[in-house]
Amino acid sequence: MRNRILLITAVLSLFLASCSKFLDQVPDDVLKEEDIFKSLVNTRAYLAQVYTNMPDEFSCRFAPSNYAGPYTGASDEANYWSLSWVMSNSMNQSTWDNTAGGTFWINWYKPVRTATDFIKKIDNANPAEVSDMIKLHYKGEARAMRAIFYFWMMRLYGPIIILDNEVPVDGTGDEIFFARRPFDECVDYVVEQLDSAYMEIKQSVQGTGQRHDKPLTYNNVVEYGRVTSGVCKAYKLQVLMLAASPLFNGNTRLASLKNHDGTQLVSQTYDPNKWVRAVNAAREFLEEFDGPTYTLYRESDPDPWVAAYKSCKNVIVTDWNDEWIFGRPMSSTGDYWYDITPKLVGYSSSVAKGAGFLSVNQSMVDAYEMRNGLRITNPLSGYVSSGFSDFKSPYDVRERRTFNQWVNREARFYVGVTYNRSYWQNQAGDVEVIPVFEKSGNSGRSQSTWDVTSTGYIVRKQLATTGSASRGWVYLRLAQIYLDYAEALNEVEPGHPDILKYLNMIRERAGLPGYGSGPGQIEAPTTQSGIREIIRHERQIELAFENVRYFDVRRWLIAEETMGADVYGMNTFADGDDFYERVLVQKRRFLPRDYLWPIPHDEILKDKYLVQNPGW
Amino acid sequence: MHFLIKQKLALALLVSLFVPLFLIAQVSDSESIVVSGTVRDKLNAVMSGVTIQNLRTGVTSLTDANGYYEIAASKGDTLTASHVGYITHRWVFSERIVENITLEAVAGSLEDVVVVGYGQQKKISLVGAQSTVKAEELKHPVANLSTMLSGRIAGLVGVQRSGLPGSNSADIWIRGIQTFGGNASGALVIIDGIQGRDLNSVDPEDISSFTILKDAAATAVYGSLGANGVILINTKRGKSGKVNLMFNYNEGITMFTKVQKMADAKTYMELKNEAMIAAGYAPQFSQAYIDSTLSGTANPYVYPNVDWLDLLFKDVAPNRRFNFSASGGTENTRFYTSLAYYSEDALLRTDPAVTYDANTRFQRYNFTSNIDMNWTKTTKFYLGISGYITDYNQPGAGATQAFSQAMNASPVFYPPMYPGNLVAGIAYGSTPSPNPWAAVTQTGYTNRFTSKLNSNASITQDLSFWVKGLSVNAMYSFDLYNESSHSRRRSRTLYYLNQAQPYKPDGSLNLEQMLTGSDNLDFSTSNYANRQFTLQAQAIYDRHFNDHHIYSMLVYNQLSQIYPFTSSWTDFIPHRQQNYAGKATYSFRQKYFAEFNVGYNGSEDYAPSRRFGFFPSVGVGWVLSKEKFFEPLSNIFQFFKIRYSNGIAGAPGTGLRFGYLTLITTNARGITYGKPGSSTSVSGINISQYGADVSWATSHTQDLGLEFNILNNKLSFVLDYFRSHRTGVFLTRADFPGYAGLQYNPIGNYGIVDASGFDGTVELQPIQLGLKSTISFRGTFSYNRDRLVENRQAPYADPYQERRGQNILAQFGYVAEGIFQSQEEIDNSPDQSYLGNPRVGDLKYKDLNGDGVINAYDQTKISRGDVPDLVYGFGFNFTLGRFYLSAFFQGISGAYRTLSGIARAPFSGDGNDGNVYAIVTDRWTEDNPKANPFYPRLAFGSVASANNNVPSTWWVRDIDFIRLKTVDFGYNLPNGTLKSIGLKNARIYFSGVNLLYWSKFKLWDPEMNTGDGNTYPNTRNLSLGIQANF
Repeated sequence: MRNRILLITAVLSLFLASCSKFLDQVPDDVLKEEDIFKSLVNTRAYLAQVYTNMPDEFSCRFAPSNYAGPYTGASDEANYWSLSWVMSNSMNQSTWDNTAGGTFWINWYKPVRTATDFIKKIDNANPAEVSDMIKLHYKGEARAMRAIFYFWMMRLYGPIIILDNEVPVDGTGDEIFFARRPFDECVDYVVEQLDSAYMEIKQSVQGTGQRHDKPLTYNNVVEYGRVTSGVCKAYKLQVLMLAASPLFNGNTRLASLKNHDGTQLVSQTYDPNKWVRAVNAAREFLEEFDGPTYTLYRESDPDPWVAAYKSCKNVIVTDWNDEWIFGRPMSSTGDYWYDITPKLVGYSSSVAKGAGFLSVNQSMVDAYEMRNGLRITNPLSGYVSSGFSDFKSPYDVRERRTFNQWVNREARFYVGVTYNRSYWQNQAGDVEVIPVFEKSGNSGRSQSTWDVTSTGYIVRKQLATTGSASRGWVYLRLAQIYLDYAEALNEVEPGHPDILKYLNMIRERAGLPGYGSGPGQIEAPTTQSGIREIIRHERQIELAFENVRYFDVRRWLIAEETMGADVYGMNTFADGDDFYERVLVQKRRFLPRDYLWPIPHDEILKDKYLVQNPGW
Repeated sequence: MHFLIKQKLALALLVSLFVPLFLIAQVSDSESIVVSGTVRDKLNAVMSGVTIQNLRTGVTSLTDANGYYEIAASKGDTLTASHVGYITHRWVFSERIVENITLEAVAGSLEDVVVVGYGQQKKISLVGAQSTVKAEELKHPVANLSTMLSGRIAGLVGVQRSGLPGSNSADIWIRGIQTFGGNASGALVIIDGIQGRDLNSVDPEDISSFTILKDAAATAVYGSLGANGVILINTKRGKSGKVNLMFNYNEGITMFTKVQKMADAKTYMELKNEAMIAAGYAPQFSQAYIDSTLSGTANPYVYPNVDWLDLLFKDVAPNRRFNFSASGGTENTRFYTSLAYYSEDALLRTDPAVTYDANTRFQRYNFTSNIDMNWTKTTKFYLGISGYITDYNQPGAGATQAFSQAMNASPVFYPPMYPGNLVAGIAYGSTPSPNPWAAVTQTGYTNRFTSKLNSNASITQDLSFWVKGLSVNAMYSFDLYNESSHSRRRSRTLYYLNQAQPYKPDGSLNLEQMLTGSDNLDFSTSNYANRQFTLQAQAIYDRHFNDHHIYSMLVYNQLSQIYPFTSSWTDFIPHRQQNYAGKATYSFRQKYFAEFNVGYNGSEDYAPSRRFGFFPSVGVGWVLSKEKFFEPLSNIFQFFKIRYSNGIAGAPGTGLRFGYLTLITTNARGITYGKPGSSTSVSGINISQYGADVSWATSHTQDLGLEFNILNNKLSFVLDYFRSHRTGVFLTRADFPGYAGLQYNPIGNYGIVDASGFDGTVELQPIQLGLKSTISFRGTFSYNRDRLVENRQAPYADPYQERRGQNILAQFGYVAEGIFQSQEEIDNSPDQSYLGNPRVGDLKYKDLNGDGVINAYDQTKISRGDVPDLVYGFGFNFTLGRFYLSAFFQGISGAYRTLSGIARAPFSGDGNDGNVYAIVTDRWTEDNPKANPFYPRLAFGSVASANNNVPSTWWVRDIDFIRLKTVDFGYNLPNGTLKSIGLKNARIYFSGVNLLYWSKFKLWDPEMNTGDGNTYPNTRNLSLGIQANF
């Protein structure tokens, strides 16, 4: 009996032994972490992971998807009020909740992690494929992008967590949980990193024939969108502007923003030296790059007003012209193009149609100056608030009956705003295409409940003739650096001639008289605060719809007035001349908490060191 | 002589049916001979004490300890073998003087043989918790077996989520849901011993046994696959005897159990205006427009008024089932073969004008062939081949989407079509607006064809000649599945009337082209397939030593599944399992039972160091009613047994392929550098999975069971209490900080769930009601509670927000306290403005943390979710002469639905295309400020609706129901009817499924899994049929 059992056992074991390899299957077709840097293709792809998280602002209707910001609709420039699910609507009424900030907080730390890993490993990349120049240049790019992502988060959240190393995947407790760093430390870190990146990029191209201030050329393609030495210095200025501004420079309203151990996260005393750092950074940039690398974009026309119009318009839609410093390259523009193209019901199918719900606020319309450089509030400006005139706008082919408020405004008004019964830029077919926003008009409310402008105006600035083809979105251009410099210098050395010099360069390109006492110039205010006001006003107009205003009004601590104000527009529920009546479009509310975004509530719960922003 | 032949024929017929009808009194005066043989039970165990009787002489004898008997008989004598609990075996002695007999136990009796993991066992010897349902109860004209189960089996929770042909199966769980996250919660289904076969594709006529295994003692042999319970289905096998042909055919109709009732044009327009005004907009419809629309005389293209649901859906659709089987065989070769057909149409209409077939129809053809052979006296061979093909056709846009659009389309936006066969609609960007009629009739069609072939071959060798009681068995199976779809779709050009100028100067409609499409049908195909190979070897040692019975079993099983249509090698690598299982049972005089089970199995998905898991269990049983001391109680309890089990089972996989590896995606979203005309695209590299030492979850389950019979064994009870503690539930660590910058949070076996519950069955055997009438009854219930112990989420600041400690499906939201009846009330209440600007007539919420503000911190548990904690069913069978009537009721309790979407927030969708429920008239208005209307104040747009459109107790609805699930009424034709064509017996019957239900919930059939009603409704089914045996 026992023998039989032994025999059976033996036979069974043999059988089972033969199956022991049955489960030994391991996938061998997947890239391993340690193999990424063996090839140039994968090295480039790994760095692309960092760049791909840059915001695609053409998707701003879907913000925060694609890392796009809700900033245009959530500023006092424009709104998406007709399309009520858009994120900016809940921000404008301060009904957004403390989970809203999740996308950026979580997703922008992803490129940070990848960049850290990239910086750590790129030196050991396979030298047969990855040259020393590429190693050092890409390292600088990763370092700069990491710093820029940190800066973008600081704009939203204020003090953030700066990670020196990668958080371990299998970590627990203090290995993975950290506290926010004081804002000034974050600033110093980002500045230091941008300076290092600048050096790395500069060194990398020495003796190679490539330029450090231009994107690296690869296979004969200038890879616009990559970080250059100029980008590093330009963002250094941006960080320092943010640090010097009232929001983070001695802002006692943020006194309660402390870590649990009592660390004050935003300095409670004003430090004028922060403006000095900003001025120095601006000068550093201008000395090296203004001229050799970047110049204000200009187009010519016999009519200086039309020339100004073309310059201010095409600086945005001419890809990577010499004014552009940084942007997101080759982005699909379809969503934004749809946002700013009217519905145009009834035109032939050759006319591209949209929805036109990105609507300009009346306050923004009113901010544009007259063609003579005077504000509409100035009795001498010639502004007429009612009635109609036959008027030919800088882009029109003929005169047409136009509401007097829109007659003879500065060129940038026509760049920025599509108004009722204006000549449509993208004509097609035999019939003249004229959008009509009156109730029964071809783009009015009776055609659709939501594919319609809420104010009777549509943003026009990014309107290209290339339809929805891919192109770049500019984040930062030379004009902004000029205005930054003027703003910072006015805080350090009021009366310094550079202030009006740089301000006037912007105005001159826009076809407006400069400030000063010279012939044809407009007399400048005499006080520091007066100058501050005209600089801010110039920024509002020059950089309208470029996601600058949203941050400016917060930086300057003036959002209660600008963001808290209700939105007005034309009466889109009326037909005929009743349309031209100013009506309330949207009630707005701005609470002190809205200066900073909430850190996602769930993240606060996880991390015992992490404190929430005030009011959230 | 003629009379004799006839009698013999009748006799043979009866023997094959095991139904004695009359006795033979004929005596032939032949010589008396000794007939002998061995009596065994179905498990091949010898039976002692079986009474053998010669009915002519009245002489009896008993089998001895080896089951051997001898009895004197003459040719033509009728002999019987009988034993308590077994069906009496009858035969006529003609030639064979050695007659070996296998006695079959009375179905459901304690001696009955039931299916267990990797084998069979006597019901009395069970120590694990398992339940069965009679195959007869499952035979209804429905496509999916899963829809017939809820309430019929103690311990099974089932809910049918949709009535759309082709996707109307039910979700089923054994003992509720005991896991969460992405982990599979469904049972392991084993059909004819093979994993991976589809429960819903079995034709119910082919089922011989349906068993669910519930506790660790029953499931431990399935190791890491068994913790969610196991469903065992065996198909029918042939029995030796004359060939029996069975034919069953029925023809029926289906109709909706309940159609969502949407607002008509008048309600829609008036209330949309009301909602728009309430949200600060100008009203959309002028009174003149409303009047014209409702006049019935205005141009319907300019003033459309459409009842989309009525337009799209028919009242009834056909349903047909056909089944044919043949079984029989000789002692050495037995077969069961069958063919079946099932078809069901959806209730969607079609457009007769189109040239293609866009009807929504599901058809299935099944075949089964089970053959058993005795190759030698000790060698048995089984070959089972079965399969099916299904053919599913639907409109190009899909029947689901068509229903959804019909529910959601505004009754006054546009007509179904404009004159000239033009499709009405507008464009949202490049997306067409919903036009339900066009979705059904104008979008082409999609056809999905599937085929499945299942095969098993097994050989069993009895080795008793070598080691007494030893046998070995080997089995090989391959299953092939193929699915191919082809679509011919189109997206036609859309037209919409210019609303400002509806007519052209010539008086014709001023239609604008909104989106350019094509009338041509495109063509596309897709394929999916899998194949599976199973190899199994088993050794069984089964022996009785006097009063002791020892049974032990060892099995090795390996399984390999391949999905050929995958794009990467990683996905293609066969999914494999290696399973070892063992079982040892001991019983003494059928009074004491002990059992030890073990499963040891592994999968390549786990890290090599943790590839295999070990899952042991023990169980004990004690039949008290066989004890001497129990005798005084035997008047009350004819049978009384308690059993207890304790063991560990594993919960299947992580759902991840190779979770232990760090995986990298090389084609993640990247970036394009450069500018138009000169650019380079670089795709991104992401880490798509951070490898971790992941493995199965383990569930420690204890079960205490009680079984007893009263009323002279007529009424039986089986009750079970269980508790289980599951650890290592696979999940993604939600407590990992976002700033770590991981592409995906780390994974691991961190979750813990506790569950407990009762389930039970009560059964009344048929009892006589007068001479010709009987009644029987059966009821079951399953009550389950689960509790989430650990989910690796960050702990909430306030305990009332915490998910831990609640049931798994618990839903969280605000506590509604009523409706704001005045501005003063709003001003004096906690600040609700963070949800949206509160208006008079809006819902008022409770400030749970008392901070004066209503925000996310004021959410708490508002519902335990939509899966019931109590499922019950009960039914009776009543016979009166040749008539029978049976009915089965099924119900659920403890299930709640939180309304969402249009059921919660009418007019909140911002667009002009949505419809609302007809009940929208029951709302708060300034003129009629009700305290408790269905809807608070209406609002147009998501911002204005924001205050009310959040999950809150206001929207939690009790969806308990009782359903008259099935009714069967039939008439058995008298025997002998149509005998000339060989008919043995026949019945004609009516069958009804989902006939009626009672529920407090009125918006839609409460069983459907939807918060907004946006699901193709469940259907009712009425059929007439005939079944005949030849």
